[in-house]
Amino acid sequence: MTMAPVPRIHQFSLTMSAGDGVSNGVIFTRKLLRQLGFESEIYSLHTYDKLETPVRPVAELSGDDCDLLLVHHSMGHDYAQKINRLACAKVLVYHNITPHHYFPPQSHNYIYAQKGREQLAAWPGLYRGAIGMSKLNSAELDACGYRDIATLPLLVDLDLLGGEERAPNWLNGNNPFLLSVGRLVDNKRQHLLIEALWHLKKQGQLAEPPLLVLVGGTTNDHYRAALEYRINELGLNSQVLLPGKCPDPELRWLYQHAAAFWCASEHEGFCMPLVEAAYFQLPVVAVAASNIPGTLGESGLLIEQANPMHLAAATATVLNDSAVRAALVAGAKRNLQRFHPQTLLRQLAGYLQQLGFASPRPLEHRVD
Amino acid sequence: MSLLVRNNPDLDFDDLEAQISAQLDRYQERENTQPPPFDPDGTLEGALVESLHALYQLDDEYFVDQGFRLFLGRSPSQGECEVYIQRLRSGVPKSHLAAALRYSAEGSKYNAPFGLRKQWFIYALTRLPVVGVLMENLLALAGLGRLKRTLLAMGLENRRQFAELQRELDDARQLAFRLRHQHQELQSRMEINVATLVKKIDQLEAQLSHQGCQPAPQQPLEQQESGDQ
Repeated sequence: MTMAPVPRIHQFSLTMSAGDGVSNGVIFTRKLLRQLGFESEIYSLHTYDKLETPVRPVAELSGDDCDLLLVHHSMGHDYAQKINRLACAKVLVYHNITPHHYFPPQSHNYIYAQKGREQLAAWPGLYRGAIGMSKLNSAELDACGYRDIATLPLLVDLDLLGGEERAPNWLNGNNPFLLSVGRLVDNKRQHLLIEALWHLKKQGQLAEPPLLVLVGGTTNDHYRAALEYRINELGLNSQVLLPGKCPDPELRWLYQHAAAFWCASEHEGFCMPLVEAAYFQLPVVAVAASNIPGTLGESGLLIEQANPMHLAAATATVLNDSAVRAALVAGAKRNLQRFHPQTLLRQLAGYLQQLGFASPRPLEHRVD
Repeated sequence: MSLLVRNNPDLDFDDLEAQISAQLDRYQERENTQPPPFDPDGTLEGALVESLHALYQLDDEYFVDQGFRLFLGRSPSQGECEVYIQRLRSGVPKSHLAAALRYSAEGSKYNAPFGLRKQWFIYALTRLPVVGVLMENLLALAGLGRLKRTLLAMGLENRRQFAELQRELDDARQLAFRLRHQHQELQSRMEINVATLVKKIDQLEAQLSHQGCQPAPQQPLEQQESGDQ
């Protein structure tokens, strides 16, 4: 098949919806591809309302109209045959999949998380190359036998993180608060954060003990119930808030006004909230697990062990010591450079050139 | 074993770890630092409320229990529960009782992050001797207007829902009519097709007998299927 005069690099993502991390990454990648001068469209099987970016139905996607297809993989699905049969070169973009054992047995998430990993292991021969969103993802791709692997965090459009801020009406008063953002599911280990808050109160290092705001939808009802039980058991009913998912303006306000960001997750393919916290210059205290050290860089204190007592003591130090906070904010600014659109644009152009797709528009002539 | 990962060149991790370790030592000497183990199967009877809106959805002992936990961080005693249920049943609004808990001596010390000062003020006024009775009557009068508006709004909403149901029923009737019509149409087409086929078979048989061939006898269906295997 001959390549079009302007190479067409399209993307496929099974679902596209507003506010979803993978969807944001797909939209950001299209922006970069178009800046490089490629023709680029997004195709999806399910597109949900409220998404302003135009997305085409996958039924319109033909191998003849595409020179390279970036296939985003973040969960198993039943549509692989159609995509893998398309007669065009393909690159797998791997966002990681939460291991299935974190979900209730035989639930939808359990079955498709398992299938997603089986598909990942079965496809290396079908793909011309692969992109890992983090080093952890790239290592997994390598172990599966993919070739031409690049680590490119094509997730973060820093230009879109700013915007309107609005105080949530469920947060009254001026109490200081600690923030954690992520679905309520076992692998995020929010129960360790609740326990850390209990220690923080008892350690008595802070003049005013903070609240803990755990933002995120519920993926596992059973785990949420256990969290509510834990909150009550430790007498923290009015100190821990579970507001569910928050609209973007409220989330920005929370990042802007929180005292610190907490993360005790056991498994993270990337952990986007760490970058968001860095953007808002919010110091982070996190447990060093999975890809968290990779994404966090220098922008937070990393606790070696998943010990809530240590998390609490380190947080008290961060909140009481302005020099430590300043060092973390400076680290956050350095860390953000890795996710700057210019940095990613250069890296993406280099990777595509390596695959034989030179940018039609040289970088120095790029129009923002 | 180190406490922290050394990930930032601007931080003196030796100093930081020494500070944190000292803090942890003091804490462990002073306090019982072991909470009960986390129970991944633990559940509360009823969800723990997180907002005033959710609290006001509850009734009787559920409201009282959740109100105490929200504003005082503990469950009510049997006596407290009875007193508050009695107040609820005597018509004291839930928001006033919530304010009473929030700004009680114990509640003020607990300092739950909910502002209910206006409700507290009204509640306090209604508790005053003589003036309180007057206030209650005035509030009841003020409430009548609201009640009337609510009832009117409910009536309108009911009428809207009824009209919507009526529309859906009409749509369903039309759909059923269309389906019946289509069914009849399909049935008559099928009958025509069958008649045409029978006619063609008759013609073929006539042609075959004219040419001196007899059609092969038809095998039973079961044999045909087993033959396919």
